[in-house]
Amino acid sequence: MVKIAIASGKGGTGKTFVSTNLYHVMKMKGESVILADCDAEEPNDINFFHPEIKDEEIVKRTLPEFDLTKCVFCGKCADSCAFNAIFMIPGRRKVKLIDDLCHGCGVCSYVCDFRAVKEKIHKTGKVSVFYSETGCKDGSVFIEGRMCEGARNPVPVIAATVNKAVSECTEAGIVLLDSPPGSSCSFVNTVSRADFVILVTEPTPFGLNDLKLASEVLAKMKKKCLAVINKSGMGNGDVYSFLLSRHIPVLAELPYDKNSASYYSEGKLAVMFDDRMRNRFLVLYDNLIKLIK
Amino acid sequence: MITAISCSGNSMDSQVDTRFGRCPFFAIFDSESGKLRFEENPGKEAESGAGPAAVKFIASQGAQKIVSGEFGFKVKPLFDQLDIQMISIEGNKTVREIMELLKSN
Repeated sequence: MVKIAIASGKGGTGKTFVSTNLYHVMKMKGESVILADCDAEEPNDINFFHPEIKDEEIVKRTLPEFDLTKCVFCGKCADSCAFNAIFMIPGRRKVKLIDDLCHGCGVCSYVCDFRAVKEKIHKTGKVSVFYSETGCKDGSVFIEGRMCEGARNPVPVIAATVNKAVSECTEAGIVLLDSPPGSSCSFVNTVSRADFVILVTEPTPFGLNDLKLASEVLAKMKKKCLAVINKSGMGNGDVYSFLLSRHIPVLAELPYDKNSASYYSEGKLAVMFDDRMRNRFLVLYDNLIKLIK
Repeated sequence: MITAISCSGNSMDSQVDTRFGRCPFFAIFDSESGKLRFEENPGKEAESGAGPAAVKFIASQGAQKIVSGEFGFKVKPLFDQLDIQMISIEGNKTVREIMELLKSN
């Protein structure tokens, strides 16, 4: 099994474009491939497929609840919390959980001597498994992580999505992880289990700035980086020199093309309609396979 | 009336630090006795939750007012529940200037 994350520091460089089209090309080439949309805050890979069968797995998180009839306001739970998620003022008999800061580790209920802290389970998102029309026959699977409305931390949903993808994958299969943008927690949790990371970038100063951030994080994580330059033909050559200086191989350049953008906006895969784009993706696929196998 | 002021140093001429949760010091000023002291912000380098930790600290000092620049969305409801008044100021002001404004009120 080879796990490949498709990431970028910057949003809008074409992670989803590359992921969905590469998934299709890999299926055409007879690979047993799974695409997992890990952008749980805003999953949209599904717009390019027409899934039929569906399994759902609920992602839960635990949050503490305080029983005020038992609490003596000793402050032990608040002092033990590494994230300052418990706000307690003993003098005023006040205790409050700050949801956003809680990581659900459970240390507060563990340290409480009065059994005043109970862990309650909350739904925070779901992981869906889709077997597309053709998917059933060729063994390919599409998986999506999606947060509940109002949930603030996508990390548990992302972790569950990656787990699901890995558990569905065959020994000889490939997992593509479409990562959320940026270079913070969501990104780190998506790429952390990948064997290779394809950084999708664009040859603009914005693309370069965020590519640097993402590649610095990945260097610390000791991940093997590869690059795809999307919207080539615009901007300048700085992205190329940067990739060269960091010894990050460029798998393919995808020229900026209005038709491909239109297909994308209609939820169509460019590789199915545009010969030139299909050829570029076949080059991407060939170069990728040479490096990962 | 005790007022806390988030500030960048521990002297009367220190600037008000507009980052509430991560300011290095709090000036604690008692307008009745006229006494002023400086306390280090214990949560200034907290990995997360610096704001709520600072609210807790301010409350433990008996303050009823807090002067700072910006208050984050996690902090506001906590101050409201504790009936501590938040006063946002703009621009560069020193602790001395704030104290004078408080006295004149």
